[in-house]
Amino acid sequence: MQSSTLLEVMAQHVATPDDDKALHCWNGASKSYDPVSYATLSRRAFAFGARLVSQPGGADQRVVMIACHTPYATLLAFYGAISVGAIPMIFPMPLSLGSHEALTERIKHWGFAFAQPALLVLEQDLTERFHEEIPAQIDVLRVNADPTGDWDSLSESANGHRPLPADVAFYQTTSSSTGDHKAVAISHGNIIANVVGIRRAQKMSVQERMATWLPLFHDMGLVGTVLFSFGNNYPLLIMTPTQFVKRPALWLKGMDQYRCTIATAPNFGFDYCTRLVSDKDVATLDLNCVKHLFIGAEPIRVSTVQGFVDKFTPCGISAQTIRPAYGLAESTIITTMTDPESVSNFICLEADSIGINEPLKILDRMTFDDPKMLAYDAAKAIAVCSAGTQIEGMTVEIVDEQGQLIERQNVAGEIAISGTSVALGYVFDGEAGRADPIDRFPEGRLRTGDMGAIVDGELYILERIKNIVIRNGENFLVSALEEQLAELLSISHEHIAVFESNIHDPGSDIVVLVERHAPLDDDAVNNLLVAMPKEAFPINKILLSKAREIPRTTSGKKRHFYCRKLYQKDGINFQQQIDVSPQRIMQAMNAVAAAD
Amino acid sequence: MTDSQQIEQRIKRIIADKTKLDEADLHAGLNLEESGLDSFARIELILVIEEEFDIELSDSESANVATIADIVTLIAAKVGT
Repeated sequence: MQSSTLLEVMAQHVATPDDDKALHCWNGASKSYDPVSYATLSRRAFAFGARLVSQPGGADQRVVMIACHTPYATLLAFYGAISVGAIPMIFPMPLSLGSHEALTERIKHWGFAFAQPALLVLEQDLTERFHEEIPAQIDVLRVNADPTGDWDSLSESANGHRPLPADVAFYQTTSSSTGDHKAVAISHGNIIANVVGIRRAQKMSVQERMATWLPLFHDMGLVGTVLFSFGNNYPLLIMTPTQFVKRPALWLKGMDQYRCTIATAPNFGFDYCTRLVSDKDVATLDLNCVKHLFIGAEPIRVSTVQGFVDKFTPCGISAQTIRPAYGLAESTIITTMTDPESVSNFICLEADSIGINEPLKILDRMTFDDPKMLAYDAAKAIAVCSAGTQIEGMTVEIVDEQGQLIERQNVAGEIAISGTSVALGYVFDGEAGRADPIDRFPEGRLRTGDMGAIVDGELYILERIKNIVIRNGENFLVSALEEQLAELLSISHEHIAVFESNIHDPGSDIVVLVERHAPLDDDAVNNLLVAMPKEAFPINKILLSKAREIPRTTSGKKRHFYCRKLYQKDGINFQQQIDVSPQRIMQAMNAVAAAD
Repeated sequence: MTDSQQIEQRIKRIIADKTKLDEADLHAGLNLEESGLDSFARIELILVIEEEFDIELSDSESANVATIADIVTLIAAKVGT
């Protein structure tokens, strides 16, 4: 019988134990994977739930903030919280955030955002110095990170919790790499609809196996790999992002050794393997077992797919193995996927034709195994991958800036989604302690902030309307940075736009356009560079311009993607350009120190 | 020159090489963020340090270093100086 909640999935694992269906955690010290079966993991999570219940204040509906380095400790706390009706929320760790202070700031924010102070789960080995920075009102529970250690276990929920599919399962933080506080409420029904929808869309068997290194604070890591595997009873090899960045070949070797059939990554993961896995490793890898390599990103880069397929063809990777998909936290994770039985395709577009309610000028159409794609010239056309069609239970439509449906195909607009995977809403970020902490999404279409078009029945992701920057697979919401810069420049954030200069080029400049600002002298530039928020992603240029240079909608909202278009055509009239290289910042620091 | 000073010198050389900053501008109290290393570049730095000193640093150890001095202390403890 199909489970309808994550708790029923856990109970199912306990009722039908199978040592082969397991989470395999990479152990850097022993250089091997430590297995823990889903049945054992569930039983330990039920016992961890009992610890949560016994805390002062109890567990029911209480938010549990999880700040752990290891996947095992993170998931034990996650499933444990779910088992007793608490609401888990996984935080990025200092290595991702840039500092302990950034994590502490996040804990302080979310810790007091709800009617009852949230509870914090930390790993045993986190430093005492860090522990001392946690406010005394926040209860802290420690968890052992060693999956092979001694553990309590229970066969069912410690408090008899029985959630309904519409009940909240967890809060997913979004744009997790910035200081911005935003989270999406995901229900049990959302999780089941999405993980089952993915399996059916890809016509997967009961014998699949998966390998991942994605961070668990990220929707692609948590839902797209961990809950997908757990919910479909697929074994999962798991390592941390740090372990992957240090040794990317480990991910591929794990797939080979355990005969994995599925893996998922953003552009960054594929590019990184193409760049850094050695020819010696390529010569020994057998990846003929891999049937689905999902790539999810906005946009998916054709050059990324080309490079990866070229490099790993000798290992058994083919163009058909690569499966572009489209998703976002607001749709639990996956919205559309490409057909597993055909080779994915892309279209080449005239770059200037991309705009809301504008018909696309399609220059060419190709599949990933088309020899013609070698002749594709990135300077003349933008290549856009198909993201396929909607999974079961979801509807994808294109709307204009007023939210009106665009029914014509080949016309760009904002992607809007509806259906069973659409999350409950955003977690309210305002008055602390509100009775219902969720701002529920209205019935009907949810606008995604991504620009796309339907061509021949398939979705193509064209541009980004929402103001985020994506680097190394991480999303950075730029609004917080715009506000910080506004304060430094004593100007309204409405006159500052931060944007990537080319979303198809991972190394393109990140530009800040400041309007209504006269040129700054050397001292003012030095002071600005020294005071700029250092935890932010690397800004490359600041452009100071006169008024009305930032393109806006009729209602006055900044249009970051039109900034990009203007910039690419040298169409921004600026009065001063400030270089923001590390060398320039160091020079500024020395100049300011000398002046003091 | 003490072992710790030698470690500090090697760390500064690695960071200068990675950031293209002048080695003379780097001091023990310098925060890694201020040297222009984002979170991704910091992980790459940890890898170079592991290879340079033939040690393995866990995620939590890697996360606990904020300054050059922190790295020196961690490595000194690992290599037993």
